[in-house]
Amino acid sequence: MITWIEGGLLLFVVLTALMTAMLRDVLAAIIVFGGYSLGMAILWVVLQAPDVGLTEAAVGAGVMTVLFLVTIARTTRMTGLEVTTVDVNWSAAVLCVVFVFAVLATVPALPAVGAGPEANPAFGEVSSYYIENAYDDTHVENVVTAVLVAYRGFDTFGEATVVFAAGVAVLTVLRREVFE
Amino acid sequence: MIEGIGIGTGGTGSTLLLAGAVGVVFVSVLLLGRVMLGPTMQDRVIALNVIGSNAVIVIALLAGAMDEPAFLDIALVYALLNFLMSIAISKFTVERGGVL
Amino acid sequence: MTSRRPYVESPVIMSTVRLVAPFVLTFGIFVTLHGASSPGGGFQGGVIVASVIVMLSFAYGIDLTWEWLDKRVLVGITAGGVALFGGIALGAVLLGGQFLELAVYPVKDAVKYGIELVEVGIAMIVTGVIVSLFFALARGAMPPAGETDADTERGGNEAAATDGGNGSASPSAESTDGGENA
Repeated sequence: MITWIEGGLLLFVVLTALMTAMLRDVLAAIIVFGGYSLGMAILWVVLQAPDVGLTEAAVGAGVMTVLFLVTIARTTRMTGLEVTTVDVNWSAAVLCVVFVFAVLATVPALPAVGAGPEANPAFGEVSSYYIENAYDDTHVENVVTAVLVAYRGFDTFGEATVVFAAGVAVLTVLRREVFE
Repeated sequence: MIEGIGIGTGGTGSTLLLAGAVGVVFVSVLLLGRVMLGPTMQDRVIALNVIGSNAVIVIALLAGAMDEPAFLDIALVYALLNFLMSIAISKFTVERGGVL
Repeated sequence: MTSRRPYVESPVIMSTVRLVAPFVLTFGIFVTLHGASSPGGGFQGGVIVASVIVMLSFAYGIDLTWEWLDKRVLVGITAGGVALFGGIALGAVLLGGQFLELAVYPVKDAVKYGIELVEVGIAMIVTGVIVSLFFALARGAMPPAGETDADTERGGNEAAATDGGNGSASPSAESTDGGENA
């Protein structure tokens, strides 16, 4: 059901996620979060989603840690703390765990991975159409790119302009300090 | 036990590569202990750097096992950018970001 | 802090970055342009290209890199990416097709080359936004003018002075008079 490498990676990802939430020192939490992104990238590779894995690798290793660092560089940081983890609100933690298991109980009802249109009415037909016709329609070998730009070009156009608008908005907020 | 891995091309070499990848993944899990306990920030940075090198190895082994050379691009990203994370954190630990 | 000697930019980091940065830039452009045939695309390639600038900032100092950077180029590639994407989308309308209907362009494999141009546009947007965001976060809301800032500037200038003979393309070589006025 679950392979050894998936099990090891899931253990790694869950451990790093928990440590990111628990560590009191912000810098240590950022370091552990870098480890989380490494584990997620390998997990995407195992799940045969190299495009997502490449995004996770580039963002996680290239800019995310750095952006967090330059942000907390402008704040004050508590040092020399005796306790290394934050205090846990146990009732809230138990509630979260119960909720997670309640949601996980619905997973067996989902259609199997790669199931055909009859088992997976929401995505089956359109996925198989993309896989069968993408190369003939676009002459692009990577079907993810074909879907991203050719079939779902409107979404991507919106996405790109949202990135642009968000960048402009952030710069508008921070403009006075940056360009002084 | 390793036969139940479910991915790969199924050959003996592929199984061997996957077994190696599983071993390196569990080494990375053990390294998390050093990240967690590491008395100084430098311990944590070095441990994370080793985990990053392990990620390069695991992705390369998986690319070999699944016979998908395109996956090596991701390993290349980590090989090129992993040190950026390390130098960023290392420089940050000097005077708490005063020298960034 | 007063008893320690001021931090001098590390020659190890500077020479490593000088060695690696061209390859990272090339790889980022490869990921962008080769996204049609292998994993990758504009978003990933743009992030990798932006990380070159981030890398240079950490090696040579954020303020010096910001002064070395031409802001018109930064704004140009960000807005130019949107213009490129929008231009391709609207050009199809001018040629009688639908919005973003890449097949109407009268070249061979129009859809494929259209997709790659769109990826280039996305990469330009992502690069520009991430570089701007990085400098906005790193330079915005600086701590109150105190000894930390002064130490930083002095350390940066010393590094630039000892490192002076390494070619005009690196940020440190033209920064000796630029570090004072931040």
